[in-house]
Amino acid sequence: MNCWKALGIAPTSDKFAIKKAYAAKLKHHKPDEDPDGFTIVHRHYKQALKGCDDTQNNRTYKEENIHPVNQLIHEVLNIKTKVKKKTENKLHISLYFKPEWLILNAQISQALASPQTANKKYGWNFLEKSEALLDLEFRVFVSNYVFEALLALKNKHPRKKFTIIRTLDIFFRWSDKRDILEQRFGYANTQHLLGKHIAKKKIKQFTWHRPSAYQSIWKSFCYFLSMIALKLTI
Amino acid sequence: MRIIGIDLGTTNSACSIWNNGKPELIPNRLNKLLTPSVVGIDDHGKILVGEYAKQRLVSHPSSTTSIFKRYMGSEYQCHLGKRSFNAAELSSLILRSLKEDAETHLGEAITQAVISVPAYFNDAQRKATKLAGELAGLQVERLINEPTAAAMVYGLHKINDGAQFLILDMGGGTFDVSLVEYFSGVIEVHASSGDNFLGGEDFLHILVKKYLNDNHINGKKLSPVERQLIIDSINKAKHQLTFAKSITIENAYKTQDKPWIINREDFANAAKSVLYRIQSPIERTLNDAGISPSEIDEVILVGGATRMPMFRTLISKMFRRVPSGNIDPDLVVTMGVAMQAGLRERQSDLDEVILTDVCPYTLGTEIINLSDESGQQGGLFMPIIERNSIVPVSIIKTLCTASDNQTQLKISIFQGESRLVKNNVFLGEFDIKVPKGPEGKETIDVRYSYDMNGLLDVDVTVNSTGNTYQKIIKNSGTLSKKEIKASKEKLANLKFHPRESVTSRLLIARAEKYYESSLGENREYVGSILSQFEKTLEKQNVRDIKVSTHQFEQALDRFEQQGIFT
Repeated sequence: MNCWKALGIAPTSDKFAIKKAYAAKLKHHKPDEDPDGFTIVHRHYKQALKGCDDTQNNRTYKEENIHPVNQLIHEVLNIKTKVKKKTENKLHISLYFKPEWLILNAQISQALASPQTANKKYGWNFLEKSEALLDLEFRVFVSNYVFEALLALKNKHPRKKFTIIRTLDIFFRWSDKRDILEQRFGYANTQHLLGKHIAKKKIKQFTWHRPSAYQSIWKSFCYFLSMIALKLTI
Repeated sequence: MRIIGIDLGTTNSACSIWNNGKPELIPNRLNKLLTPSVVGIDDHGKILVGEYAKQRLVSHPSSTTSIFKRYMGSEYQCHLGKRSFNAAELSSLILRSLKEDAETHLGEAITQAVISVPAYFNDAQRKATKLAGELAGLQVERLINEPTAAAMVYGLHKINDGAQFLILDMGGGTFDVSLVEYFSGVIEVHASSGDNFLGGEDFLHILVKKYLNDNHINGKKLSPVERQLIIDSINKAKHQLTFAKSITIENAYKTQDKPWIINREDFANAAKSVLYRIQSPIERTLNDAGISPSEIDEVILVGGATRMPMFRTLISKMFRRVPSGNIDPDLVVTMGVAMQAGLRERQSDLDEVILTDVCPYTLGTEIINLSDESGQQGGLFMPIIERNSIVPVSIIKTLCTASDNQTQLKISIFQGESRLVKNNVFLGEFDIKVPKGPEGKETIDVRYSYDMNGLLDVDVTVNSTGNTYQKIIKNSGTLSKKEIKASKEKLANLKFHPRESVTSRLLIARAEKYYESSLGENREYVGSILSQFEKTLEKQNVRDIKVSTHQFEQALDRFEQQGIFT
């Protein structure tokens, strides 16, 4: 491969060796002084790292297949996924055995039993209370799980309206990471669930918000108008 | 010629220089390292900056302003007395004050600086910062991202080789997240994200609101002075809550009938919705870098607002570990900026250090949306520079005409992650003239260049004619050359207080603030010592002034210690 020659090392899967070679090259192509040279060195570096990642992935995959303990875990997972009829299985094993997950999972399936129960706000109160959900990794995992389960439920009952999406959206901040969800679940699915009504909140960075004093004048004016209207109707 | 490093913050600013292999922080005229980012104008039309102006926020709220960094790059005009300024001009007054301090400290003229900006600052905000530097008579050598600056300091002192660390930077007004890797002298930023409107000021706002609610005070009926008095005492309480479990505010407003007690838990509950906003940028950064929280070697906290216990608790829960912040969170960015200044000066002791950074958001252009028949969606967004690409970066995309006999093409520049342009931030647009021809025949090359300062340049070449167009993005925040000149003139006409009188002015401002906030006997006493002091000043006897300044200061200190003023 070309990138090895450019970095001045023999092809290797040792990431640290690649980084060292990259660092040595950068001393002569600093991003400040030689932007073009730097861009090229960086491209070679990324290429080398990518090649390294690919070979490592292959290796661990093979090892996993051979190792009997891993096989056992795979079987356990397969059974679990069969029971839950989950098609995707990219989850970290430790998350499956987290005791909090077992509780949460039961609560989520209870809430998602039917569209009626799903739309009840208090049925989701457990999310706010759960301390375990503060954990970043776990939160992403649960967020994706709920998103997928809700998608399945919506597909099952296409005519039902799911008002709860708004609450869940605020809790999991789905709108903020809509593009990440689109990447994971596909554009059509995300659109189907989140819809247009909660399109990504537009941040107005160039407008200056009026101080609240003005708003209060406007509000009191509106109130005044409504009072007049009320009197007229009476 | 030396280059100074400036951390231009929302609440505080600081200045530093690379000296003898380490960053040296430059004290201001009051011998403090932090200068409050507050600007005011006094009764004689003279400009006041820093601590003095901060004290006057209480006594003269209508002619003093703070937190203007939030309006960087916007059209917002701030009125100080009869004059009005935009955020860049106000910032330039701060920069000017810091520059003077550095000149006195170093004993030479300074014309070049490196200034820090939040990583998630957009093009308009960055250009406004650069303009502020120019208006203050400083050539801005580099704009550096705040978390990146902090990463440099940690990279060289505290981190092992080959480590990956996450920098969480929450200052007075902005929140930034950067994932950084350090190996053999290279500090590489992998991914960056943030929120431009999330910082310590938002937490203060919540606490003030809670105070007003609990005491049944209508916030809209408060006069500016009363409002500022409340904000001032709440701000003190907020800082004290970092060390104390609960704080009692005896009397911050006349209708407050009983002492108001606030404890950490109540504050955390009230601020929950704001605090939890940090989750989105952190999640995004880790997602973009493609690593899980357990792979991070260290979580580092930077910025004054990260001192809040609730922030630290949440981070520990999110990452299942205790975050570290060994270096003073208020000053670490300043030190990093000094390092960058040293790099620009090509100091030999920084020869081994290399810094690479990324562009935190996607930049692209609008293209026609063929599937949009109802006209609801609007144009599609075509990314040109993907977020978290390493900078400097320059990418060319080829676009073509969409209908027969088209003579004009509109290039709109957008920033954001949404598929539809209407959900993204508009940066600018320009029109390109092309020869007539059938659909798709005429092509143009659009080149986006994003430099190390985080500034974007767009140029377009029409392939058939070879005409080139260049766009220096002009949006509401940036000014034309003529406007810059007018702005410079306006600032040149301003009068400043001489440096020497600053100590006595600060004391007067302090006394005035105490006068506003105390009642009865104390008030009379402060009034009397204040007028006595002013009399001595008028006589202009240097020795007398020195003696009475000392006495005056001691009297005020004694008062503050006794807690007579809250």
